[in-house]
Amino acid sequence: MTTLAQYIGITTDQQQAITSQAFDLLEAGELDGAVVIFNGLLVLNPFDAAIHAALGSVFHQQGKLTEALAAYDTALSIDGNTALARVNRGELRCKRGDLGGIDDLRIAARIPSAVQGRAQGALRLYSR
Amino acid sequence: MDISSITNRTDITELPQATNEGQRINLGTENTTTESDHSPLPSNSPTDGARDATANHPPTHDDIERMTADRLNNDPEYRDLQQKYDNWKGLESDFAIIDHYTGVITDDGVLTLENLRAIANDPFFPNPEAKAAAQRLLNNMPIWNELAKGDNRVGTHDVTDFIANMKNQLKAMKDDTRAAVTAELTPPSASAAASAVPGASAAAGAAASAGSTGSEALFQAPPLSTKPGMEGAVENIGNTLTAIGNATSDLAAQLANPDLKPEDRQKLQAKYNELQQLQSMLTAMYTQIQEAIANLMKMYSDVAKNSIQNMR
Repeated sequence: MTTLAQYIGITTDQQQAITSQAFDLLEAGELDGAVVIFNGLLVLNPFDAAIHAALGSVFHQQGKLTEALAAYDTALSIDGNTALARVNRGELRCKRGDLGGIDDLRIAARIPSAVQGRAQGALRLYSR
Repeated sequence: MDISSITNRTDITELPQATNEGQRINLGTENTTTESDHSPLPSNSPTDGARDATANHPPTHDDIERMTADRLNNDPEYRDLQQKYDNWKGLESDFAIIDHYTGVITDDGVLTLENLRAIANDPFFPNPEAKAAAQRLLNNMPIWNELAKGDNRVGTHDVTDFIANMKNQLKAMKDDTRAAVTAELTPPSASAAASAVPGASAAAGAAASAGSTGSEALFQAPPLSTKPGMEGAVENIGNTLTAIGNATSDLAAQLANPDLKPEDRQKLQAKYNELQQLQSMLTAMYTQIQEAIANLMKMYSDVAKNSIQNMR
């Protein structure tokens, strides 16, 4: 199946430019704007696990935890090694008393990524 | 307001936790005194590291080489050929040793099985190194047979050609594997596209069907922009919105036909709804990007103005 991005000829660097724009908004505290762009990116390619995870993290930050969990679940159903989704879902589940979160953190702690340190710290904390 | 619509919610038990969660996350970063300050929870925000974790780093040469090597090591055909090549490389020197001490290959251009046996079985053969080499070749009769092709004679070029051929086969397999790895690592990746994604939004589903090739495509693919980065992205999305707008107008005109059969109307209406949903999502993103670009331009402009004022 061809994604919409492929169909309309959005190249990798064009997608990256849009993604970068979403993170610029996120870092500027404009969470709603970031959500709009991440949703648009998922229209272009619904199979991008990293974008589902990023969208989930914004929902998480906004306190929309049901939406965040759904986004993390989707990300991990596409790619089980999506580190951001693993660590955030793990923390979320642990905070809710769901011990399955430890498994998520354990996996995230093994994946080399920008959130590996965070995953290892959270794993130490919740494994006590 | 219908209270039952709230109290009947199945996720109502999550609400207090969710609210606390939200407060903990948002207020914790604002340095205010909340429950989170007394909790052992990490102060990290869920978006910490998100940009880098999401960044689509292009695969490095080392990444590609490592993955290629891993894949080849797990390919029995490649492993067998590599093993054979290694054996041959070892035995190639045996031919050279025998020729060096006996001159049989140089003299006749070939080494025969009789030559080999004569050297290996001669108890008085003067050179032990050549004798050992001959014995090693005899111990590897399958290799000898493959090279001699039934006539029990092996020429100098037979050995080098055979080894070169194996080397070329190994190289071709490696090149093919490397190309496959590179293609897999190069986005846009739709590797998971074949399977349905649970939880994916309806708009994403519409997008997938819009993008699928064939007669079911919701709209004609727009002209491509070859410009790089955001400029190209904005142009491509703008062109797409125009194409979707045209397709929507066509559908609206068809739906206005009073002679349309009900089942056809239903199909067209479903297509129309999908297109509208797609248009709405893409328009929102397009507007947001344009707004962000405008803000950025304004910021640059303000910085420039301030700089000029400071200079005065």
